[in-house]
Amino acid sequence: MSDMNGDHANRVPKIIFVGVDGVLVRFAEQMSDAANAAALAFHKHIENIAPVGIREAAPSLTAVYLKLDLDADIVQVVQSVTEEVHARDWFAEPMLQSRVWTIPCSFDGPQLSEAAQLAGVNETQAVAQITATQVRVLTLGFAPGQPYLGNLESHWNIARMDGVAPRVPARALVVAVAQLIIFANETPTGWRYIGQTAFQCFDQNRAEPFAFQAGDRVQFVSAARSEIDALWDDSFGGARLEVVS
Amino acid sequence: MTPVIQVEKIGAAVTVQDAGWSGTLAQGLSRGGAADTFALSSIWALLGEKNTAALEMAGFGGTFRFLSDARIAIAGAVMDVRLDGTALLHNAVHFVQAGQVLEIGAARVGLYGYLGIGGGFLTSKFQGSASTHRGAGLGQVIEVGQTLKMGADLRPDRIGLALPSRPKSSAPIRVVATAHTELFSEKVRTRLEETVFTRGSKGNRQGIALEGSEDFALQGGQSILSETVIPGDIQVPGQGALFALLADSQTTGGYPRIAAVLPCDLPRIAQAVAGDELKFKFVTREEGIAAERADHKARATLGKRCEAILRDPAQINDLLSYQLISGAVSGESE
Repeated sequence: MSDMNGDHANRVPKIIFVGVDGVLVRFAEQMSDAANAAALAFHKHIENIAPVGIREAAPSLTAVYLKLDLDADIVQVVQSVTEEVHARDWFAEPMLQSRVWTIPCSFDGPQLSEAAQLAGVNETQAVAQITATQVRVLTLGFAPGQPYLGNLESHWNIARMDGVAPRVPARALVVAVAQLIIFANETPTGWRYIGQTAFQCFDQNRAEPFAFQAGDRVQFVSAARSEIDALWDDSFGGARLEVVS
Repeated sequence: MTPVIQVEKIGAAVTVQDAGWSGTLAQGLSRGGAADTFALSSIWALLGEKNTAALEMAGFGGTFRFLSDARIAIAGAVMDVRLDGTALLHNAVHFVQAGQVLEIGAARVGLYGYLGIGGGFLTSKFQGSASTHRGAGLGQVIEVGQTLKMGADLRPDRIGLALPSRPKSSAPIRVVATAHTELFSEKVRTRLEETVFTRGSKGNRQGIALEGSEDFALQGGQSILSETVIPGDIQVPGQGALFALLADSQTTGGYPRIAAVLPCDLPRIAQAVAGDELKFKFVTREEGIAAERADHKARATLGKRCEAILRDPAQINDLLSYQLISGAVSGESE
């Protein structure tokens, strides 16, 4: 993409128009912790300063989408967004202060063994590795409150399935591309179903309907299926939340 | 808070919708709300109110018994609408007396019909919107036996008005460049404009399949990182038909997106039924912005375009003409 190969060249955010009323600030084309942290920091900044002419801001893995108010002076708004993007090195921003979730999961999904095999480990090792890794909420998306959690070690960078499993249940733990997701809803998916939690990412009746915030840390702990079943009526599925200061 | 309607019969997909959410994209909840936002604006203009919730009826309405007097507005897909057996004018606001029965049948033109009520339907809201989003379990899918409530009607005299029907446009649907447009060759982008697509049978409020040509796949498209997607985006899967996203779309996706439909043209896609032909044309961002601004203005002035229903006996029923004599208002500015 760039005529320079240095690290610096990869750290110049791109600003592109998406649709008639959108601007995307893309910090990287590939997933990395640094680019994700940059996107989250920039999103936080935009939320804080709430610039005139921007109706909504949403981060994804390595980018931030800004929805413009078309009744505003668009040239002016894009100009000020550009200035904000270049005002500092977003890659150098410290990780956001974080909360830590501990979430019980029964690692008995139908594709645990297949996923483990693709990652080059056995099932026991797979569970040990996943429960030994504190993952981070890289972004929320696809469905309400649904987290993309990462990153697992690189041998977990396994491709999605060619086909699609038609119905993986809500609250399932799935894996692909060195990331984990807890499904908000039952959904067809190319990710592999490795475990079951009782954790509801979204519950409109809770004081905090969307459980996760981007940047939260998540630690899975192994639980028996009977424990998960017993936690089903708890919309947080037996999870514990600690705020790290 | 008056109970106003007893639902006696109902279509499979009648839901409460308003303008949807703003500010929830970061949490994974898309805009949602009415699939045909222009029709919703028409309902508001006819009733003389704003931001109230209406019933969105996909394909088929239902039978509604009125428990109290009310005003109703009808817009969107053309459906067979009868009040105590007498046909009611589409794109209009009517008076309904307690005890009367409103029957709304199958859509004859378009897919999503809208029924508004003076004061709006009162249902529970989530973060400011009463919209129904099935994937999120939000809102209400209307069921037989249910009683619907309405808010206080502040304009009870505003009845017997209609909006001129919008001629069905055969112009191509306007799209602008989006996230991955530049990654597609000019040849493929031209193909998007030259293909006559049909709305596939696969589709709902989340999005619809665009069948016609599957020759759009992007080399290396599988390695694109998941980013924010919005209603109007046209996704190009590795194989199979293109997919246009609608109000209840997912909020992130990793498929390359070749173009984005202008929000003001999105109702035309939402209202397409299986087999309808759809054509696309790229416009510049500047043209797109101008079209959007014109659309905002058109919606804002809809109230002024409401006119008294002509008292053509072939068009209106006795009840309606009686109400016109006793208290129709027209030509007022909004």
